[in-house]
Amino acid sequence: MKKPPRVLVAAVQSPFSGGGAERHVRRLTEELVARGIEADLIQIPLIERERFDLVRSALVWRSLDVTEFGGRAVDAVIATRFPSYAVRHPNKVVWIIHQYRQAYDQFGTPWSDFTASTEDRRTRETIEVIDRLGLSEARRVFANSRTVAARLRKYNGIASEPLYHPPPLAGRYRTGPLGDYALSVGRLEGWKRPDLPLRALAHAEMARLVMVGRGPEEGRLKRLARELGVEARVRWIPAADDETLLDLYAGARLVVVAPEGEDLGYVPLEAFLSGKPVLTTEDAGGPLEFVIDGRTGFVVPPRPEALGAALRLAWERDDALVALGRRGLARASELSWDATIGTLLAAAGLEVP
Amino acid sequence: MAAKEDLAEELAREIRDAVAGVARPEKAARAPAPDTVELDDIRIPIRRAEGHRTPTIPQAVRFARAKSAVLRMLRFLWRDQASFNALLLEAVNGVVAALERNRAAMEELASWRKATERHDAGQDARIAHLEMLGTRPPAASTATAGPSPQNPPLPESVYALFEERFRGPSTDVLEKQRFYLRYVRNLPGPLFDAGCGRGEFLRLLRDEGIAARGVESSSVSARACRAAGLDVTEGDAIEALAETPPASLGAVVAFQVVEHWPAASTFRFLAEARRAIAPGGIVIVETVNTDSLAAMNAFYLDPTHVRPVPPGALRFLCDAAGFRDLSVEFLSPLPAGSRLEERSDNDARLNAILFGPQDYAVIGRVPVP
Repeated sequence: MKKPPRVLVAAVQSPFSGGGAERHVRRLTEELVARGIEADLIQIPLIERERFDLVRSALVWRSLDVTEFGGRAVDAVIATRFPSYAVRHPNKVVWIIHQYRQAYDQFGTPWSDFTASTEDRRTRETIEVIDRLGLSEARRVFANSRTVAARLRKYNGIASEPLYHPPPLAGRYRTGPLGDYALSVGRLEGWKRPDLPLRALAHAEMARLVMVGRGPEEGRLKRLARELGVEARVRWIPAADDETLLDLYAGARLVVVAPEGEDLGYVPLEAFLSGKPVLTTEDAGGPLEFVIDGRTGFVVPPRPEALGAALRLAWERDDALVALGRRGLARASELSWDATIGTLLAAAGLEVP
Repeated sequence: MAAKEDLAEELAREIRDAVAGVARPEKAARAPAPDTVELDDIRIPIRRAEGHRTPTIPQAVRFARAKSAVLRMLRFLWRDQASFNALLLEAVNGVVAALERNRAAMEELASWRKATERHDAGQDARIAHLEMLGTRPPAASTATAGPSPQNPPLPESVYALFEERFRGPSTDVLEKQRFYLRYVRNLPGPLFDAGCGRGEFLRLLRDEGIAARGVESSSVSARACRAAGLDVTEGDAIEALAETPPASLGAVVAFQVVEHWPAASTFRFLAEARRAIAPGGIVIVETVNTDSLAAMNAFYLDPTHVRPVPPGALRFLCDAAGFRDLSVEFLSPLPAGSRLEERSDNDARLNAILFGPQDYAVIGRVPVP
């Protein structure tokens, strides 16, 4: 019998935090194993204490040659986040979740702590070199979304193709009747702009909002809700387990997603798989690859009045919301792990056994 | 179901209108056109730089509050630098504004130029038509015989008006024919343009310094070509080619001509071309792509079109006339918006049948013995 291909998934570890990116690479490994591939996950933490630690972490990856383990060849490596794609392997495919954004598109915004100092400048240049080297030697580069692919082209001149995948709880999302609240899910941090849905409430008196997530902005947001006089219409859920989250999606009226330049964002896909339309902003990035104005949701300028107007007008229009949600469901159902894994393996010259 | 989808579209439209109502006026005033994106590459960093007129501590940094306090105390140290930065920013902003004004002015000029060219061509056709109406009535005999270059179905000046209405502006044709330039460099003799029309290709060749002459059956077009200083004679292209000495030409081209001829004329034309072209020279014959339903849809819009010529047939005729190294190039793809969005192989197959390229060309060579 022919031995199954051996594939390593290379990823960055964030000890003690267990964020979405880690769940994603674990899922990718599991999906490979489920299809009869001998797959395993290798992870090295990305240290960010000092500026130069970033480069050191990349060097660790670079110094590893994972061509074989235990006397048996590794057929392919699928590398994911910066700087895991610095790893050495002759058959390397990169599926980039996102670059080190603080050094690229977030530079000069409040979301990046890089300054114009010599050290920071050199670090940014080095990150560019690492990206260029690690990505250009790969057999094929995929990006998590069109938004990420566009950034790679703009900042590094590297061509890549978007490769989508289903959200984490795929297969478990359920639909339900339109509820009486708008839902916002995500870490409460600056660039995700959780303040936008809150401020929008002040322009839509009938709307209620459920905010799922915690983060550095939590205190400030609660203060803001009081100042705006909307706190009675907001429910805060700092942490929700899977089942609670599925219920919250299934029972929402619509879902609000208002980040600035998000890479992909599962929230729109999760909303669609729960049959709910999505309200998002023109500068949201990844969400715009799925949310089409008037087809699967609403796309408005990133201002509280605009989001508020959309909430106000859409709130009582059940038929329209149901129609939008149904089309969203159809769109999101097109994504499958079968197709994603097939594309990744084909790029590495392998087949699903 | 259909009604529900309309509801959703309608709601989205209402929201857009409402949002436009609350939009800040200056935002509405400059809706970004697609080609202003590169200016955004300048504008975005400038907007970010505005946030750094004086040093600030990003929220993401550790001990941000303490660091900000220290920063406030030390601010007097870089007052000069801060004013320098602010002045520089203002200057760059001024430059960007000037760039924008320039671009707007250029766009306006370009649109004026296009409109003027179109207008000129229209005037020529109209003047010729008026001249004809003033001199003689349209020939009545055309109804009995089938259409042919000698016996056109429409009075010439009416056809000139038709061309002006339905064919793209001269400049579009010019851009399209630029593709053929790669084939006509280093020819063993001058180029012969059969049915050169408004002389677009001859003008291209003149700019490239390639010797060429044309024959055109429409006296209106031929006159216009000569007025533009091109070497064009009025008459029948096949007869003119037959009078050319053997192996005296470097190339013969016929763009959108053979569909105006019966098959026998096409073959005679190719045979004469083979005789007149020197070894190493080439022939290029372009016509409507019969493999594309979208292109065929408009085929008989032109009343002087006799019969469509499929790629296989034209290739065969070229081969039979003695041309070698034959290739078929498909040209003038429909804009993406007019094709089906390709999400599967089936879409691609349907696109090829329904919305394939509008034209094709057979290119052949006279072998060097």
